Amino acid sequence: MGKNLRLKAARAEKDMSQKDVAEAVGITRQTMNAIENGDYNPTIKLCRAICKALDRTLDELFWEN
Amino acid sequence: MKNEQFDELQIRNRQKISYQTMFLLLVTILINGIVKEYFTSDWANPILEANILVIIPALYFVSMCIWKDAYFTDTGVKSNIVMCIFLILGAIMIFLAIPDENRFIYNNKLNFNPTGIFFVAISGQYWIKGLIDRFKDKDDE
Repeated sequence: MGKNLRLKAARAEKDMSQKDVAEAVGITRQTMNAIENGDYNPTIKLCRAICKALDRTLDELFWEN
Repeated sequence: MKNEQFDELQIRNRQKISYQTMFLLLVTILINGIVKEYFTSDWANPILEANILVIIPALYFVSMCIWKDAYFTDTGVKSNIVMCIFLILGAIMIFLAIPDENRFIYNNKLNFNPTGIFFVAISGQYWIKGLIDRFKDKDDE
């Protein structure tokens, strides 16, 4: 699993740090970092929470072509 | 998700570390048995021996939880107070455990209770990890 650059870009667009998103979602910064780096494959529940925090859809952030 | 104490990656990591700890406990018990059977009858007093067999896996579990962010990621005042207590308690225990004339091995038996090292190691690692995380947070911002 490669790095999720779309997630990183969406976060940067909203001018949020990993810590900000993590706090909004209710996870640790380390977990957010692992998701962005592709080290951890989150559950659909967590994906949805991240999408809500970043105002994006699941397709936009997590769908792999 | 906000009300959950630990997130899903932390729980997954904890489960992994728990399995590893259990394996480590079995290995230490096995090694202890082999040493006692083939090399020396007793390498420590029974209570000290039991203490060490518990401390090794426990230290592994806590250390891995700290470094893998499975637990102990809260760097708030409450956690720091607990870690301060651990440090003081550990230092006192080490001081009290130092044997007379520094005879750590006496009559071919271990003569030093390492429980204090366990507490000092936990608090030390916790603060080092906290510092590293703080630097990482700054990089991220």
